[in-house]
Amino acid sequence: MNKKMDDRDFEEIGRLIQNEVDEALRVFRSKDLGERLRARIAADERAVKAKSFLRKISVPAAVATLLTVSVALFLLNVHRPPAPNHVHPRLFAAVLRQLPSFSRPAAESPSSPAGEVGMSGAGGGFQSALASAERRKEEEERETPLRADGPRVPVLSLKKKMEILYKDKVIERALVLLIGKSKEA
Amino acid sequence: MPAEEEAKLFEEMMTHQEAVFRICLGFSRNPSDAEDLSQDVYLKAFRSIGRIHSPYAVKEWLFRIVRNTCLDHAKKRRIIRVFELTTSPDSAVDARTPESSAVTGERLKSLKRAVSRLPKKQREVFVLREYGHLSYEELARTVGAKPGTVMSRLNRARIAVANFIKETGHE
Repeated sequence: MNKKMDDRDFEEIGRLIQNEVDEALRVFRSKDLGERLRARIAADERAVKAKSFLRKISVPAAVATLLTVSVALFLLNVHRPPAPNHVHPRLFAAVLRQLPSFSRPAAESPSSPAGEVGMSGAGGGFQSALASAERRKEEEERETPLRADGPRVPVLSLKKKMEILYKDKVIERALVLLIGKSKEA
Repeated sequence: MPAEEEAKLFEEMMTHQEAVFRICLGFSRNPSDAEDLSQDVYLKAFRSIGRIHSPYAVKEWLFRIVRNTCLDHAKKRRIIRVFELTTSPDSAVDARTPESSAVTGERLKSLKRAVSRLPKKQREVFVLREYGHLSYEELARTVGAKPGTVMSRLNRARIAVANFIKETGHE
């Protein structure tokens, strides 16, 4: 690159720039920059005002929506119905209290339903059935010879068997009552 | 700042509108863009008029806004041109000057191309001096450099422009 610059080159650059500027300035002067500026400033101010108005509205609207949603969620949570299979412990205790104890005669139970004979409906029927069953058992034992060489199996008395059976029935009835109560609730 | 004082400062700024336009023209190389840039400059100045502490600093402060606005514009324009591959703005200038002779038109085109090829620091000094007619002190304060540095940048820029015009003239 030539480090030295001729004066003519400099003049040439100056003349070219002057030509360009003069021509552009002629157009520029024909337009009123001040007037155009005032119009733009006014338009900008209007835009800023509209923006600030939207901003003013948008914040309370967002807060109100948030509050409404929160309140709705809170209310839904408070008034939610309990789950259908949920059994309250008090209900369970009440059902158990209604059941007769094994040691007490079933007839004494105040809320025992009359239709369920053989389980807790009539104490006399139960006693007589137990007696006849014991008699049959004794007869069978007399008729059947004992095997001396077989494995020793613990033999349950008939009373014990009936106790087990009775407990099974009590549990079954408790469960039936419990299901019925939970459905009603 | 009181409204009266603001209006006074704005009036003072408006007295430099042609210099502002010339500098914008030098940077943008397009009269239409230069008009828009001049408006942008005055809008920016109007919005931050409260920052001027002394009315004597108006000119310097205004030219700093001009320089920054034009450099930002050039940066955006470069990005747009990379993506759009549009025609050179020189063609727009030529269309606006049908009365120019063919030779002058060619020389003007070379000048614009030469200015656009200058490194950023040399270009800003060249445009501010040749188009804005700023003094060396004003130039130094506007670009934030020492007067000696500014003079040397300006000299390098002038040589580069002259050489480019010469080379393209001989083609």
